[in-house]
Formats: sequence, C-alpha cells, structure tokens
Amino acid sequence: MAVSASWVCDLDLRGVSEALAAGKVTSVEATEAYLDRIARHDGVLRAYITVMGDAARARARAADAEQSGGRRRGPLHGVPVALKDLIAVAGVRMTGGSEMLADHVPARDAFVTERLQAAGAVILGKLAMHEFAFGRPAVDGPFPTGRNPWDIRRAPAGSSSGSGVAAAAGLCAGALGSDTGGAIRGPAAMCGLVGHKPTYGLVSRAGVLAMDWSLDHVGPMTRSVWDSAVMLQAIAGHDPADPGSLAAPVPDYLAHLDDGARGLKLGLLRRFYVDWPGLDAEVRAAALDAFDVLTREGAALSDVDVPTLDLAPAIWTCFLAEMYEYHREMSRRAPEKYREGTRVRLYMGALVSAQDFLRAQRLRARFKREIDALLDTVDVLVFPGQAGPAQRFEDISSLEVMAPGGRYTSPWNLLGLPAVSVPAGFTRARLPVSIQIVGRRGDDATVLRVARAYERATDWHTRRPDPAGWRLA
Amino acid sequence: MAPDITVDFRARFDAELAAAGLAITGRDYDLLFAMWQEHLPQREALRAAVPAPEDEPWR
Repeated sequence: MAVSASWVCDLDLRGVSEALAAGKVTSVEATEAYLDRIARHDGVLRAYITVMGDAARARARAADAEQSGGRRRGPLHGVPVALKDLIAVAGVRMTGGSEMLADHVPARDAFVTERLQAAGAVILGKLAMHEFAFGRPAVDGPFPTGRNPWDIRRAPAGSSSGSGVAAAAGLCAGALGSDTGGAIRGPAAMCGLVGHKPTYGLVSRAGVLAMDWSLDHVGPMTRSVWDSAVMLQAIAGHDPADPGSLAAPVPDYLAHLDDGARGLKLGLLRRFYVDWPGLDAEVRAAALDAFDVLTREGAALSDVDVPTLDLAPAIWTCFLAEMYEYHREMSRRAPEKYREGTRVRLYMGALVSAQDFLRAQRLRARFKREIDALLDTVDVLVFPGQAGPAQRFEDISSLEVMAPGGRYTSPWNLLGLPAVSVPAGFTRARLPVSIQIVGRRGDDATVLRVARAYERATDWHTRRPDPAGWRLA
Repeated sequence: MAPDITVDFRARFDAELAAAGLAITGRDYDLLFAMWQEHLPQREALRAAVPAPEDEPWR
C-alpha cells in the first residue's frame, strides 16, 4: 500500500520544508514516506548502512508537537535527512564502511549531528560510504557502497557514495558527506546533485572519523543550491573541540543567494581542466555551455592559470601519510579487517618519506600563494566538475592511488577553499554532468550565489532518476 | 648488457618497505608494488619541482 505522502520524496529539501511549514504534510508523514521508499528501493540501491526508523519517528513526532505548539525552529524543522556513516550519532553504530568498526557505537553526537537536531531535522539513518573514506566501490561484502540511481550498473563515486545515492533517489531530503579529495563533489557530480565542500574549518570535524586531518571537510549534498545553503547554515560555526575550527562569525548564506551573477568575475582554469585530453567530450561541451549561461547572466569570464596546479595531485598524494598515521595501529592489529583495496592504499601512505612530505608542504604553500593572488583578480574559479560520467563497476581500477578525475577536486582540499559541484546537464546516456565553482577562503556565500545563478537559469536540478530502473537483472 | 630495470625497481621498492617497517607478502605485496610503480612519475615530478627558498612549509 502506498504511503499517503510519498510525493514528498520527489521534492527538494526546500519543497519538503515549505510543505511542512504550510501544514500540507506532517513530519511524521514525511518521515514515513522516506522510510517506506527506503524499504522499497534500498535493497537494490544500498544507500543506507543503518536505518534509524524508530528514532526518526520519535523525532518527527516531537517536531510535529512543537509546530502544533507554535514553534518552528527554522527551515530544517521536521525535515528528514541522513548522514554519512562516519558522522557520529550517539547510540547508533558508526562503521566507517568497515568491518573493523562493525560494532562501534559512539557515545556522543558529532557537532554537526547536534546542530542538525537543534535545527529540528529528523535523522533517517547512516549512509553507505567507501571504506574509511578511502576504499573502493563495492557491490558485495558487509557494507556495499551503493549503486548510482541514474544507472544501477554504475557507481555513484565516493567516498560519500551513500549520501549521493540517498539524496538523488529521494531516500532523504538532504544528506551530509565528507570530502578529503573530492568525496562530496564526486558523488554529487555523478548523481546530479549540488555538493558543497565548505571552507576548511567552517564546519566542525568533531565526532567525524578522520581520513586526513589537514584535508577533511564535512558538507551538504542536496538536490538544490538553496538546500545546501540551508544545511550549511545549520552546521557551520566555531567548535573548540575541533582544532581546525574557524573562530570567524558565520554569515547568512541565504541573504545574497539570489543576487545573481551580474558583475561577478569568473576565472576559467581552461588549460588544466578543459584542455586536458582525459576530459570526456560530453562533459566538456556541457561545461562550456554552462559557462556561456553564466556570461549571459551577466558574469565576466576570463581564462586563468597557475603553474603549480599541475603538481596538486602529487602534493595531495603525500597526504596519504596522514591517513596511514591515523590507521597505523588498527591496520597492524587486524589488517584482514580492511578490504584489500583500502589496505593497499593505506600502505602507500606508509611509503611517503618525510622529505617528500615536506616538499609537498612547501609546494602546497606556493600553490596557495598563486591561487590567492588569482582570487584577488576574479571572484571565483570555474571549470568542469568531473573528468567523465559515472563509471560501470567493472571499469573501475583497483590500482590507482587517485583516479585521474581526482585532479578536478583534490587541489581545493589542499587549499581549504570553498568548492561546490552543480548539475550542468546529462550525457546522451542520461548520466549527470556538472561544473565546479571555487571561491576565496571564507567566501562560501559567493560560491553558492554563483551556483544559484546558474541553477536558476537551467532546469537540470529538477530532473529525477526513474525508480523503474532500480531492479537488478 | 642493459640493467634489469624491474630488478632495480623491486630493490628500491623493497628498501622503501623496509624503511617503512611494512612486512607484507603475497597479493598485498604485488598490488602495492604495481600501485607504487604506477605512482612513480608523480613522485618524481614532485621531487623535481624545486621550491624557492621563501617557500616555507604550509602552516
């Protein structure tokens, strides 16, 4: 029997929020609709590791009772969301996508969990991910990583794979992921979502399993830019428990979201990103169309470049040393509990010498100087959001330290700059493609503004994958 | 006679494993060796990029 509010699952987060605020649906009805959709489709899509049905229903009842009493906490009040399974929810197992942590139950909420709950959001569950945020896609084993809802023979990318699947397939109204080298933006690109990697330190990492302390970011993955802005607003802010947390005040991310692109200067990193021979032709064409849209919206576009960008992937790879350090004791104690692909990539981190790491840190500083100087001349950088569309599982290499497409995302983790992936069309095979927008440190608002200006002029974000395709042969 | 490049690579790889304190064998060893070889050009590019004296490490 169909759940009465199943229509909410086709809405973006804003639509769900407005329907709740207008009393068109209760949080209990919306929560039941998502839980029903999860029950019907997640056996194939495998977006969730843990579904928090009873806890979600209890939160939804509380949200409805508050609203009936005249109190709404804000736009996330009663909205069902879900979290990558490296973000702690007290009393709920947190696996990190690994057998190593299969029975681990955190005692405390992560900072971002507390913030979402304080905003009135309902947490539906914990989402699948690549093992420890650095493993490979998997369709089997105790924690499969999810199937792309646009084509279930293909991976959704990672490591926030379940977040991408759930948000795109309407198994939650919005999701949180984490991003160390592209793990929010990659699945957002492959699943037709907005994925925002905030400025480093804007969102607390407290209560979030680390991959690389220096490069980890937590951020939203949603169907629209407004949705991401609202989720970012809820989770941003200083947290003394995170040594990297910024103390600066958090701006209002909605205040100028619809100001448009007129008068803004966009710097296109053409040489490294558009002219790269490895870029898929359909992605290239869609991205160049997208930049034309932005110039028609009044932005000024110019080609820009920095030489150290070529070294960024190599610099990033040296930070595997941090990952190995985090896992050193666990991996020595029980290496067999890691998937093979994760384990071998961990060992690559052990092979980074101190000299190479220091060289990487010096070049990272040089890269920062070059990009900061560039961002004094333009407001944001733009480029295609991915090297190619979502890959079939059988085509994904197990030998790569970083997939070639990592060049589109990893440099911006090195610098901690805000970066958003925005849907920019589809290939002939109906697979999502994207553009990426990178801004000045702390200027997440302008990045989101440009993304919104593009989104408003297009309709890619309104497309939905067809559930009829969610059947295994 | 031309040097056996594979033997040279193996020796370098084994030396790095030893320095890192990694005692791995079998399939993990083979996969890691393949990954390490595939990554060598990137590493060489990093080492060849000499920073300016004023390029201090990131803080």
